[in-house]
Amino acid sequence: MSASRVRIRVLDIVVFLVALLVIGLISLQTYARGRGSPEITISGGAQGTTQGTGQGGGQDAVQEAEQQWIYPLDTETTVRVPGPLGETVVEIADGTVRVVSSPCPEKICIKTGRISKPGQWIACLPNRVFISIRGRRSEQPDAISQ
Amino acid sequence: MRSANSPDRTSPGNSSPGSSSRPGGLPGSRPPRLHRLVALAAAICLFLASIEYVIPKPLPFLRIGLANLPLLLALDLFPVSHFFLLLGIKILGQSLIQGSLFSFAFLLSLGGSLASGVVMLAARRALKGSTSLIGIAILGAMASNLVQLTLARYLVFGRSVWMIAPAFLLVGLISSSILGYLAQAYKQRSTWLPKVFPQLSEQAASPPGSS
Repeated sequence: MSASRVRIRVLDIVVFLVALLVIGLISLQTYARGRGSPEITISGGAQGTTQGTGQGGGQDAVQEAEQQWIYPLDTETTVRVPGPLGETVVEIADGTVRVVSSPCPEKICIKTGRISKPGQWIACLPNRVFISIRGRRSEQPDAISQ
Repeated sequence: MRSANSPDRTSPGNSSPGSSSRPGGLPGSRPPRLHRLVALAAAICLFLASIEYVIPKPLPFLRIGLANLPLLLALDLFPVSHFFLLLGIKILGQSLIQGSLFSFAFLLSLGGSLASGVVMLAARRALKGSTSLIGIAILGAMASNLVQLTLARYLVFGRSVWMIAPAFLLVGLISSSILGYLAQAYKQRSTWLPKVFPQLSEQAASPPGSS
């Protein structure tokens, strides 16, 4: 039984450092994304109806395949999001997002108007569409510090 | 290729009478046949997997990977076919122990383990001797974790998987370094291994033993 020291080679250390570098790059890429230009997340596309079966209470939470669309805020596009009631049309233009048309009865989502800052959101509950802007909040003071 | 008792260059055979009569080894320590060693290594794998299963995990992804210890040692000991046989047993057995055999976690485990097996084997053959098992273990862990993250991203969780990627990879790096160190230390100091695998003792004789 020899108590010889465990032989660590130079290449072991190289491998370790390279792995560390890769992790660093990945984390930089991951966490820098939140710091870059804000992005818009639109979730919707659920096909289930909003009305439940009445029994069991939780039944109406069952949804079919909700989808997500993610766009950078500086794109110019129009997205048609399918929902249980029909299509909600979302317009992204000039760094703002708004709902152009919606099949819902109250049109609250349209009345919300344009949003442009991280943290803001538009929701259309009847048609199950949720639009939010994610990203680092701007340096402006928030409601509490004002 | 996969037949368990194909005659191999690594097959210890019965050609080393000198080592067979040494005291202190396993009872009747005639070098066992290769497929028995695979079974033994697999048993150790599953034993370690059960130990690891008992250890609480703060997050489901943060695993130590104890069960990969025999795999690391098997890299040098078994021919490719037997190595993958051991890997397959380990994948199946470990998911059986963890109860994840028919869940998506099994797919992650399968993908990750296969990737790490291929990478470790390729790296060991390519870098023959210029890294210790530590480097090999790190490469294997990185391969396994990256494949698992990719699978998880496309199969289950979507883009948000990358939010935990750095922590996941970092834990893998640290635990694989420790495991690699343990494997290397065992390989250097074991008195049992050279007895079972006579070709190892020739290798170990050439570097300074410094006993």
